[in-house]
Amino acid sequence: MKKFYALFCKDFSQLRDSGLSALFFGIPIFFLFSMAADFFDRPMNYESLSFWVVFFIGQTSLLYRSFSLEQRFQCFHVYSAWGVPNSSIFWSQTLCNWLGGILLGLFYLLLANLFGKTPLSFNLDFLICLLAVSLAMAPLGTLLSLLLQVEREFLFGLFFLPASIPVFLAALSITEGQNPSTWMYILFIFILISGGLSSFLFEFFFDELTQSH
Amino acid sequence: MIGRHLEFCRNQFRLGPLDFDFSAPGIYRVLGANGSGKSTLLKLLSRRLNKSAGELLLPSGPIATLGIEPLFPLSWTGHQALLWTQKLTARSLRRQDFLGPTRKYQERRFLELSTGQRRQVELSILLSHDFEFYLLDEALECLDSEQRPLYENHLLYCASEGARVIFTSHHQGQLSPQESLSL
Repeated sequence: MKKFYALFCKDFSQLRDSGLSALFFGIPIFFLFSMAADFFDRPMNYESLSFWVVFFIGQTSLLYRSFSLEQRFQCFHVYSAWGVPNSSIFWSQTLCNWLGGILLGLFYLLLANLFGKTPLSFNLDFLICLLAVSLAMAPLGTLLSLLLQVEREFLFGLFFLPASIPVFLAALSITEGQNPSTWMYILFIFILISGGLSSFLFEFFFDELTQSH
Repeated sequence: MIGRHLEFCRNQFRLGPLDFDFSAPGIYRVLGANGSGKSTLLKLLSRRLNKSAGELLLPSGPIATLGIEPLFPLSWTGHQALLWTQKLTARSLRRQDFLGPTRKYQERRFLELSTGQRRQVELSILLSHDFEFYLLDEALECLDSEQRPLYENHLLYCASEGARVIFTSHHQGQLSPQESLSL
């Protein structure tokens, strides 16, 4: 538990850097969306659509920076030398990414209501949807960030966004009230599969990918 | 740490077969010319590389390594690194936390320190914890002649307390090994 706490503290302090840049990244995108929407006829469901699009872009930016501290300073080796369980490394980073996603979502909700004309309501349903969407994306993003590290980071967007399309559709449909219970069920299945599979693959690939060259 | 007919091959490089036994407490030295595979052996011992053939028995607990690869993020302070080591290795403190001369650097980030100062802080952190194995890859080379004996004495003390210190160095200094492994 102490090891997990130490990892979590490290990941959380790292979240301050990656989270802040993701937060500010959303402002110009919301602004551009708002300008484009005013220029043309504002489409229906514009607010929730723009919110989730910006959220997904922001999440990509946040998750892309998983393990950035270790990658930047090439100090992955303490984990193998000090016998830190791979599962602790994975779940601590995933937990931080999940929390980061929630904070990002709340901040973007504020921006969406600032730039949009019809305010998006903040209620329990929305909060549950945000928690579930962020939880569905966090393990997958953590795994992909590790798999595509070092010279292959540019592939992150290509792999991550297609893999999370079901989550995007679920988020949009739940917010718009189109078969919310069905989509929530799909989201729940996605969380179980992506969490289990990502955890398993991380365990399998971590030593190999972070090995010395 | 015991190796039997241990071999490592990658591309054109080949190490071994090696036989060694570093299980008894004490000081061990790995000797060899540049490129002979001293660092590679320490990477194998610190689980950073996988052997190609033979047998390698490693302890399950944490191993203190220095000089093999960067130890801490350079954006951290020595104090942060000390707390992180303490929690992540779950080792108790052997003696004091920072050794005398490094105490003044503990609140400075590694980025702001010179190579020698950074090495002193890193050594200080590792030596203050109760590790069973210390793998040092030319870890004392960048220390000046005043500081080096201090850390060598600490390593000798750790060995007398039951630790195994395995080091590579082109200069022996005060560390007289009980056994040497030539590559």
